Amino acid sequence: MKLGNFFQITEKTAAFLTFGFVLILPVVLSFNPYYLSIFIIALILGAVSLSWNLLAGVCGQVSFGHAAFFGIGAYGSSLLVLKAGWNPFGAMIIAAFFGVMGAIIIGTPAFRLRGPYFALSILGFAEVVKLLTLNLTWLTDGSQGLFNIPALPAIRIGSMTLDFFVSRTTNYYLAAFLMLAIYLVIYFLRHSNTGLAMSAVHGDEETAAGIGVPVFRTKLLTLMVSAFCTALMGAFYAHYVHFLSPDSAFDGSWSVMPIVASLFGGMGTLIGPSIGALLITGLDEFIFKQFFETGHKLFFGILLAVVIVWTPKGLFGKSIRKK
Amino acid sequence: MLRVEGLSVSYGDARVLEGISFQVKPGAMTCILGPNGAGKTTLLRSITGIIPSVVGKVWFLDQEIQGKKTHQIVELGMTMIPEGRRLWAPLSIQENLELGAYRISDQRIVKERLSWVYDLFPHLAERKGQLCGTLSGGEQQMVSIGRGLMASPKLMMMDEPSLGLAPLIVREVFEAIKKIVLAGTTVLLIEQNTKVALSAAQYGYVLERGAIVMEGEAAALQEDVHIKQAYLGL
Repeated sequence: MKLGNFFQITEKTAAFLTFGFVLILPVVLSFNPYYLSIFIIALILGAVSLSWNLLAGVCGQVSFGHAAFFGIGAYGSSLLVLKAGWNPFGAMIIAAFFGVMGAIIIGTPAFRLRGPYFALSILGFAEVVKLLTLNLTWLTDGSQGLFNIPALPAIRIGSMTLDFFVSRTTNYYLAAFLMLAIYLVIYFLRHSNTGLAMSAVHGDEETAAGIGVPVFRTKLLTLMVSAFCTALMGAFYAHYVHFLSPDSAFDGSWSVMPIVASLFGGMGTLIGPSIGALLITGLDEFIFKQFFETGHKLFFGILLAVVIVWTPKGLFGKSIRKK
Repeated sequence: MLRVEGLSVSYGDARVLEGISFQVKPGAMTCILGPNGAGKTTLLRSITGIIPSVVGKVWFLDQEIQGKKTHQIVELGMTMIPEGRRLWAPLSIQENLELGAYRISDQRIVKERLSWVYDLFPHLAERKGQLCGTLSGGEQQMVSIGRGLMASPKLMMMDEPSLGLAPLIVREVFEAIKKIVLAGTTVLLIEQNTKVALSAAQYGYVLERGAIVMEGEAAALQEDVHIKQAYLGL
């Protein structure tokens, strides 16, 4: 009794279905602002999970510290806007490059380690960046956090105005667009020669080196792309919630939830992690919360254990084929 | 083609290889024989740069490759067929072979190499799409050799291709290796299976407890009393 025995679809079909679902979801929720805000966070999580899975599922390098890149993006963009007066859109892009710099700083030493040691060193890195944010008070206002982070400026297309300050719907669709953009980047990267190198490294590092794959460079490049996408979503998050503290931007759940979502959706696929993110958010919101108002997150643990035992490749790992 | 001088390797305090010197002549098959634990695999891994900290010098095609990264050494035209095959199990035969040509961007050359590998192992051509995790040991060995050939190497180093294979399959694999040498690829073979190795190679070295104890023409080594007693059980 596994989903993989019931239906088989290709990666492309799964992606079309997912983004189709994301497109009509607000209509299904009749644009209820509360539910929209829940699913905006789900889309952010979905996009971060896609990025995490590029590193872990495709290249085989598990990270326990993606909150670092998320927080760097969030703080980077906010500070550029608040202290330097930048346009938030430009700030988001530059903040994403801050994430890449973070990736180089931690990846260069950490990729000399393997397996759990790499995962742990990046966890330590996330903690260090969080402490820096907490203590560089002249820059970040420390534990007080940053207030009144400006929303993204409105975009006018003809007679239509996309307002990011008031409208949840606009923010929702921008989050969806970012997730799509990140998915496409990952999809094309996976099907390039570099993607081939990534899966070779995932399978067997020594043999990968033996066919001429620059192992270290491939791993670092993957981390850089993953960090760029994660930091970009962090930056979007900052302009969406207007408030940041070291605890919210570097919250451990930005490291943990992408892992949960990816395990749910299937690490062997590309689109799976975003399905996982939407699914666990939906389950949490519409089922667990209804019955257990406090402690509903406890169910993630139980559910995750069930998934790992029942179908270790994720709920859709066997249903979504590569080609 | 390949020249090694005074190569020493230690794992921590334990010295595994002590002042190894040998050379591989182009266009022929050279073999290095030795029992378990003699340091054969370590020797190959240090030549290809997988074990980085070694003492001694290694020349490949008159270029010093000591201290270079594995992928740079591979770029020069050397490839290693690792012990125990080490295929990408979730990938098909064809995908594994194509990965072997990772450095080659010209698709025509990749196709050419692919058909040469399938000519060499017609067996593989019949089941291109099969996942490597489901193949028999002999078939996996063929894919592993084929993967190494895809990169058009000048020197191919093989670590115990006979490991875990039935005698009949071993013969089949070695027939293929001989054809590879005839087609112009130099081969360095590391083997425990002395009899098979010496009948296929032109020159041989014997490695024992981390040092080369004997060398000579393969035919002469076959007749040697020490070898007969220690390895051939005669």
